[in-house]
Amino acid sequence: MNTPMFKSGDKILILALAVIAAAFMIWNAMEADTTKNLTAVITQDSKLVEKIDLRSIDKPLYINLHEEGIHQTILAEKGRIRFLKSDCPNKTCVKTGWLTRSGTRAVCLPSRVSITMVGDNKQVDVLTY
Amino acid sequence: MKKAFYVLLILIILVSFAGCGLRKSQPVQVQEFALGTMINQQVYGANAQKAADEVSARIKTLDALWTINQPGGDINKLNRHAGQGYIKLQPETIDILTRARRISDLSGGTAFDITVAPLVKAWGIGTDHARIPSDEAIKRLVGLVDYRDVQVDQASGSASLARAGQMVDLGGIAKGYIGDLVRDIYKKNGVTSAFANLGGNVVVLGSKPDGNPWKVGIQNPRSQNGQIVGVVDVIDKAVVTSGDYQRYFIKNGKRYCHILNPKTGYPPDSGLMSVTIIAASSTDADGMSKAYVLGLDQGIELIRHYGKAEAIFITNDKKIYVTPGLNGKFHLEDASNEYTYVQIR
Repeated sequence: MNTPMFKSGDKILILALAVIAAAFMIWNAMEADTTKNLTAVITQDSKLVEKIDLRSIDKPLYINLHEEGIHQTILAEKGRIRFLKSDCPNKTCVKTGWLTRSGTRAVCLPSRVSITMVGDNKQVDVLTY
Repeated sequence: MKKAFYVLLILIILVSFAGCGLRKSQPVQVQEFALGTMINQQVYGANAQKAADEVSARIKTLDALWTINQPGGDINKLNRHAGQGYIKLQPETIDILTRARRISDLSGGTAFDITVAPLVKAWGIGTDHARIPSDEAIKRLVGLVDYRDVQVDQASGSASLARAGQMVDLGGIAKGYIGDLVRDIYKKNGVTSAFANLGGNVVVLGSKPDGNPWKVGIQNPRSQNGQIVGVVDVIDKAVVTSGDYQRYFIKNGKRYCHILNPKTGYPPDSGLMSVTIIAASSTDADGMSKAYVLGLDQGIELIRHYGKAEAIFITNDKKIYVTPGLNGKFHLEDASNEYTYVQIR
């Protein structure tokens, strides 16, 4: 007897699984995009070097720095930023990789340059005032 | 065979969903007004309701005991008895007076002094009759301010104010002190995860039920809508802020805030908009937050001298100075994009 590969009950099960999977993916996508504003704040030794609105830039932006005798390049793209090149000894800053979320930071201790991601993500439990 | 496999798969998914639901047990949430402000509690666990109720009752009792204008309350009695020797007070009152003295000693009364009450009354900031007192009046009243004139006799459970006209106001420490009591009540009831917000004075017990630290937002001192400038991750800590933006009035373009410099009698012009203290002791955190009066450099010095707290100073020029111990715990979350993070070394 030539039985079909899936019975109708099986199809319903598969469909249900697909719906659950899709719901998960949509949920995750929404979670990731709760931050409307996203700004990278670059400082050197606590002084402001540059503020970049990462939502509004369209083409890659290269920022070259020469601080404390160290050459560095920072690359900003839409929604993300990183230390691209640095001739500091450990390259910890470059290894930090892309910053995409508010509240995260990449730091180069030798050059005292830091990139801090700032957004209006209000994910707090309780407010002190 | 195939069907059995899918049924099993769905069962696994359902069970894992149910698991998530169970772990996120609903907290008991209480919001009420006391201590002249709004009190919020969020308490988890089996005894959460009982613990929260006990906390509410305790706060109301102490509110009546310590409010300066409450006839029959301990502080009212102490003030009326100024210059007339010792008067017997409740053990909690003796304890808070002792703790206040210790905190004042740390700064020699330059930042925090509970006998600043005559000045607080003269300015009336936060009331509907706020005004700038005359220079002569302020000079006279500053003479009445000296925390060392609050004398406590532990043995007899009594206290005195040395001179007539002197007054104590616990406004700068009561919420902090009660914060520690609140945490004790939670613990006594077997609660392991909770927070209480006493009008901006935050105490957290343990971590969140999911094991993550509590995220405490630091308010933007110039925002009207509770916008934050940063978040600090804490477990088992008190987080207390003093600033120029809670209660103030503006006259001829100048801002007069409710926190007064005990030595000058005027609201401080310290270059700071707010100071947030993170410490194990809520009482100490409240007292230490008055480093606001001292300005950035002396404020940092005071925190170092105390040695058991971390701090966040926000200056008038919108820089956020953060002590080294908060490295990795403080996150700049400034939607206004006006503030700059500075690490104190």
